[in-house]
Amino acid sequence: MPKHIVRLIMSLGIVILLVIGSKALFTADSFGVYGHYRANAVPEIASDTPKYKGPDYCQLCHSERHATWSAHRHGKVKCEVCHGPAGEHPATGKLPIPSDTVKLCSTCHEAMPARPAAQPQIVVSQHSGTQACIACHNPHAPRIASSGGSDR
Amino acid sequence: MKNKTHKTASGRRVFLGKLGKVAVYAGALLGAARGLAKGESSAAGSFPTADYDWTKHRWGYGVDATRCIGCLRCVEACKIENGVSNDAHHFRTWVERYVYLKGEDKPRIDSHSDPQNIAAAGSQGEYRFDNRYKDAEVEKAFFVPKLCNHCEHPSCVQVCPVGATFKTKDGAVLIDHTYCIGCQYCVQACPYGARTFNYEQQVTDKCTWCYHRITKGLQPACVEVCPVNARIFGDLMDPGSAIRKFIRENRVQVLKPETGNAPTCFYIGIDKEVS
Amino acid sequence: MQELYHVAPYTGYVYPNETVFPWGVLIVIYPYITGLVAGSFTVSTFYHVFGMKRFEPVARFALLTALSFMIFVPTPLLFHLGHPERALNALWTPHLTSAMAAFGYTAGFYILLLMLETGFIFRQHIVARAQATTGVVRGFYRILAFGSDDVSENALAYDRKWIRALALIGMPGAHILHGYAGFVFGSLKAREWWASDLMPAIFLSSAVISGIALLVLLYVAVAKVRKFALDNECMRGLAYTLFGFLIFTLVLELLEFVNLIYKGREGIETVMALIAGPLALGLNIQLVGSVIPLVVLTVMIWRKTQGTPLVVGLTVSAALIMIAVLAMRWNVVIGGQELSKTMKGLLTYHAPIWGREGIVVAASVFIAPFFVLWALTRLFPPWDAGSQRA
Repeated sequence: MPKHIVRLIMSLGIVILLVIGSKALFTADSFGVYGHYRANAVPEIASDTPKYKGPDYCQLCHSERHATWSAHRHGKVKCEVCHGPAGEHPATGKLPIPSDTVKLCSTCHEAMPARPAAQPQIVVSQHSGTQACIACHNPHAPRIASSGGSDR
Repeated sequence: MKNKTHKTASGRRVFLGKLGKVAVYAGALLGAARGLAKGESSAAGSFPTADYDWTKHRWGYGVDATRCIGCLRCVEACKIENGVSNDAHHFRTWVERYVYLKGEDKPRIDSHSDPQNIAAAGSQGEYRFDNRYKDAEVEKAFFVPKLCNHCEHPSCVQVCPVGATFKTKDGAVLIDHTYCIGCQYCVQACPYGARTFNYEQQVTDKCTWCYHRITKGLQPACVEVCPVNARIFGDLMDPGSAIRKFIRENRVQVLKPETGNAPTCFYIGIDKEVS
Repeated sequence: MQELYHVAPYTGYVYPNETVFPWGVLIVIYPYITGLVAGSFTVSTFYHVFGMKRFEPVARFALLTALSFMIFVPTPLLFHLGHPERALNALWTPHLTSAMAAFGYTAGFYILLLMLETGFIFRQHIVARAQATTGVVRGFYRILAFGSDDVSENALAYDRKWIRALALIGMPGAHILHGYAGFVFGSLKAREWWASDLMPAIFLSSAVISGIALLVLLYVAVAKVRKFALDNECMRGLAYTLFGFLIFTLVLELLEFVNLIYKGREGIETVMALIAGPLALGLNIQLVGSVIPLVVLTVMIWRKTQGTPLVVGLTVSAALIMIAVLAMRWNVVIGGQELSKTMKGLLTYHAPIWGREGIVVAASVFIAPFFVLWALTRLFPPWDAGSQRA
């Protein structure tokens, strides 16, 4: 066999070995343990810290508010829906108390086609105009006693 | 003279060849050693965390569209919880609004990223449906929350060239952001439009069912904040779970069943035009 | 954030993630370039495998053309990737269920094959240059010659065997490489405009016509510059193959189109609106660019046109086909994304001019192979045999 052919075949062999070797060398740690992915990615993703802590966390300090809130009609609307995620609160400071209540409350209660009939809805302009909702409603116990029904 | 040059050249080549071989064998050995090491580590304890064993759970998601009020707190909470970009074109969950006006046989559909809704919200970092149909004669209207369907046979996982996206043993479809090459083939392959490309990190992004929460016994953020229980999440392995109850008590359906993707997000209260 | 991506305008309802196009003009150029490789390599195999003598004048040039373009096939993909530095992940952990995972190994194998084929075909020239030159140039040619100056009859016999074997392997190789590109699109059930079983076949046959067309244009241009006469038989052969593959391509495209319309699945109204709307220009360019060459080639073959009229007719046909195939790539890649997965809305793609995924980069990726081809023809003159024969 001519020299150049021999050398070519040898070089091709080296290329193939290099590819196989690199594949072994560069395949990420933990790849393929559970499937075709880096197994360590799962604990990495699972290790993120939750920002929304849930009402039980809030109750630790705000037990009175929690008691009022959970006994009333907004009991399904969790603290962090209006106050934002607790995150590292209280270490990182106060959580916001919403100031523009017309904007916030109308997010759920503005009368709108597509909203289920069971959802209490108001036409803001006819209901109260620009008056703040909290002038009449306590957000933690929203139903006004004078309107008749109980708050549950 | 000519012959001499020839010899040196071939000598150099032989040396290079040897060097190559050494590298290959060293690489192969190293790879084998690594393989052994990972075998050992995976054998010990539960996975993926010390308190959570993914073989003991099988998660499922329910959407009750009859309850959704379109407040978009889920979209907001999802973005905050997962640090998703604040603009309207990056999201992990979204809500659609279907409105049939009198005399029209096709619904008008929009979502949180509709320019009019962004205008009503005030910015791309806030989320609100505008009230464009308040004076219209509406025949039928409803909201439909959407998210990744965490399919049994996910197209996105099938097409990923490198194995950067995968389905976990407990049923979530995740992305390894450190391994994704950013080709966006998965974005193309998903029939549900559930994936977006994160232009800051240059990798694809998607709903994880808040994997960092559900592995700690918490609900996904969207479920946590939903004020009307339109979103239901739970363990399909647990007969007493909310999701098993939801499936048992309702005639549930999935989106685009014809794709064969077999979603594990189950819907009630949707209409033929929802896909 | 806004400058990072373009939000496409839309009508009807589209999923909120669709307003940013995942694949832009770079992914239009990518199958266009692989197609040119497959096409030009096919012409080279007509001579090197099937021994069709009439293609001899362009056979070696066709090979250099295939190599020049093949070198640039990965570039549009690398420009497109969010993390090009991780591209090799596809080599270390190729996901066997992914069509795209095949790219790294297939393309690597094919580039190697083209380099070997080129090395063997030009080996006599390489050895001669290694002996006649000095310094760096000599070193370059010596490496290519594997340090051997053996041009004995025995060595040449080996070379001829390798040339045939490599071309024989390269044929399926080229077609797999491009059929694969069609499969990347055709296998996606999520997109009605792409999900066609005929897509790989259409990609392949349109690739062949674009490659032949490119060769015609280059052959005519080089003959003008180098002032040699075009080989009449070769031109006629190119006309015949162009005609044959053009008909095959058009029939496949027509079948696919008719199938889509005839089946009339959910959302067919939106498909029709796509054809009449955002994609109308592209489809018309593809149609005109295909039908005029078909008529011209039919007339020329009927009339047995020779000489200058053949050159003019074939050049015009080739130029139009080059444009039509580019339009076809656009219509597939962009068209598929302009049709929303909701089947209830349409988007309009506007290619950015600047930026990593803009028209300037895409055009550069397309033009660069011509410079490489020019350089390669300096190193490995492909015309000696052809120009003497003419």
